[in-house]
Amino acid sequence: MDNSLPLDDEADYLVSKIRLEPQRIQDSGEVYDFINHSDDPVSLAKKTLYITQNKGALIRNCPGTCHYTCCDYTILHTGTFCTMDCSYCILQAYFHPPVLQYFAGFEPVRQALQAVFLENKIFRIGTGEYTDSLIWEKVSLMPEFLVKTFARQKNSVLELKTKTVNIESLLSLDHNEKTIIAWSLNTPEIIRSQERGTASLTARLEAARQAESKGYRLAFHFDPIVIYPGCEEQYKNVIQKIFEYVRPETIVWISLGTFRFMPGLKSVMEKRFPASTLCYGEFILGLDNKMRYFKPLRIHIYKEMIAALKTYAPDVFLYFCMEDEEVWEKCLDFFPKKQGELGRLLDRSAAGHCSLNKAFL
Amino acid sequence: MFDTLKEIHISDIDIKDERYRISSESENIAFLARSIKEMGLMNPPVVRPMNDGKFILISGFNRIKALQYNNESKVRVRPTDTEIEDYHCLLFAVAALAFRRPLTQVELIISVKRLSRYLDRENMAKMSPAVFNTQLAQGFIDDLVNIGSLPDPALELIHTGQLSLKSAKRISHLDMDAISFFLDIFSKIRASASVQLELIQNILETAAREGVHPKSLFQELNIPDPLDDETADMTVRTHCFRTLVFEQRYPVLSRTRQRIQDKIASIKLPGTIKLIPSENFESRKYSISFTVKNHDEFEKNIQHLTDALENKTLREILDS
Repeated sequence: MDNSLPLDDEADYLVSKIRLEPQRIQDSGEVYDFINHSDDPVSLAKKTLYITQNKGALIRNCPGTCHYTCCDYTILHTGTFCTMDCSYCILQAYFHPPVLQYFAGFEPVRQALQAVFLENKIFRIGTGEYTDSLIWEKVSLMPEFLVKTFARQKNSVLELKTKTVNIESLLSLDHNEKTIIAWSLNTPEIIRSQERGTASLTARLEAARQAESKGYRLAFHFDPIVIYPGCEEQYKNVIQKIFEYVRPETIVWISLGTFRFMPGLKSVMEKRFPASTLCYGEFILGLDNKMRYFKPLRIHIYKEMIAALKTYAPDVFLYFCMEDEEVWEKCLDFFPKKQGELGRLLDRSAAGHCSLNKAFL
Repeated sequence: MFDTLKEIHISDIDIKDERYRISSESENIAFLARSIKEMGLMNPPVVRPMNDGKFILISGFNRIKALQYNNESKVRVRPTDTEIEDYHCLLFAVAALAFRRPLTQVELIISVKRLSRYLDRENMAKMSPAVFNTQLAQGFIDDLVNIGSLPDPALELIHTGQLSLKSAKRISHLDMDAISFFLDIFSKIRASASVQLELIQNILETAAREGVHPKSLFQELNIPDPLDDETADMTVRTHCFRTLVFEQRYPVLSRTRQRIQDKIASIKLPGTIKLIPSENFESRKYSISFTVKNHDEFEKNIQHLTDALENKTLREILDS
């Protein structure tokens, strides 16, 4: 724990939940060195929580890459890394070293959000870019604080992305429809073999049903979609199962993105997940220097999944995370060509589902 | 450590004992033999006296062979003292060669492997400037020890350039069956270092994806092994093998490439005009280029392209 942090209610709650006496440190370098000197820094980082303050920007734009269309998401930077252990997780190679950080302090977050809430535009804000939004729910009051804070304004939605079922503390809150709880979904085979420590598909969907019953808006992210023999049928089964649990009307959006990775992730995966063959698919170097499935393969699986999604939920907004014009046109028959167009479409869906001020559209 | 120079009978040297030999045997020592004959032996061989009155060579294997070639019966040598340890003899054998000329890769591997019996990598790295005439990093020493543990014909393939150090390092971490499988491959082809690594990676990844051992990959996928065709020229065999391995690793990409190439060929553009799809088809962009020497040629190429506008296949390629 950062030595400069006061042991206030928030920190006290966190420490009481973790049930370990924190070690106070003067310099974050001590944490980095401790993790870096391990033979397996990634695994050690998952077991070492560093409670500190965010000394950088709390609000950031999504780091989309060139040549592929980004959703113009806004990131609320409340923590980094994750306690779950997905073989494909880019965070293993993104941070040097990865550090499980919890950024304490409601006040800076409140101030940063107040500035956003005063703007005359729609914001889609998420905490799930550099961490799982809800791994923290068991130990921190931050998710609860965020849901309550977002409930009191009309231009922004909070998206909490997760692979957990940690929603218990959120169920009784007055969220005022301003929070979308989003689950990252995959086939049971991929969850079992590649997503160590995450909730099962059924558990995630059961949690989604509970959230829906409390009026929460929902979203689902098929990302990463993994291509393997028989995957088409398995993804279709997942899609069918979604609608056995929740109604299409409560789903604000569903995104699709096939597995892609910075080349540096491959060696990390080979070392940490020797049984995984995920990165031995037909990957080529994309225009943004990330490895991507060969495009016809991406188009094929997208078409199959979109056809299934349209069967159950013809009106749900579907979008691709980081795909190009050809994929959009061939799979969804349109391409949000103009700068920021995809973002505006997502804003529209958020405004419609979450009672945002439509004048800001 | 050394006694003064001494003349001994060449027959008293046990030349079959090569425990300190680092250099590979010269195939043709005629030049060395002639040099010794005309200019004399400039550097006396170093020998270790044994208890039976005989000697074993520490350095100078080729010089002794050249003297035998010249039908000499005696040689002036520099004997070590009788109490010298094996370890010091080996150090001297390596240093004697390394300070005469840079060690070859195989000599370096042999030296490091043998010295690793006496020195850990940290100490070997510390001593390396004095012994190897160059600084060796600890990680590199580890790699060389691993490579030195590869079975035959690994060193022979490294010597002939058919197996690069990087490739040898890559396969040294595999199980013995896989190592033998790759050594067999590289004994039948001649590929650049980067192509060797590409082949190893593609085979390992395809095998992992298919859930089979690399050595049974071709049988499992029911593919005739092009390396079995011993009539094919080595360059052709290498090319065929590389293509086959790539096709197994990237089947859809390979088929797509072939299909597009066939379509482009069917347009029958003249050889001066090139129609090239984007790398791996990730972009929709095609590049069309031609070279000209004069205005006439320019006009002809434009005419060919204008004619191609009517070609349905061209439209199919560009609008697919």
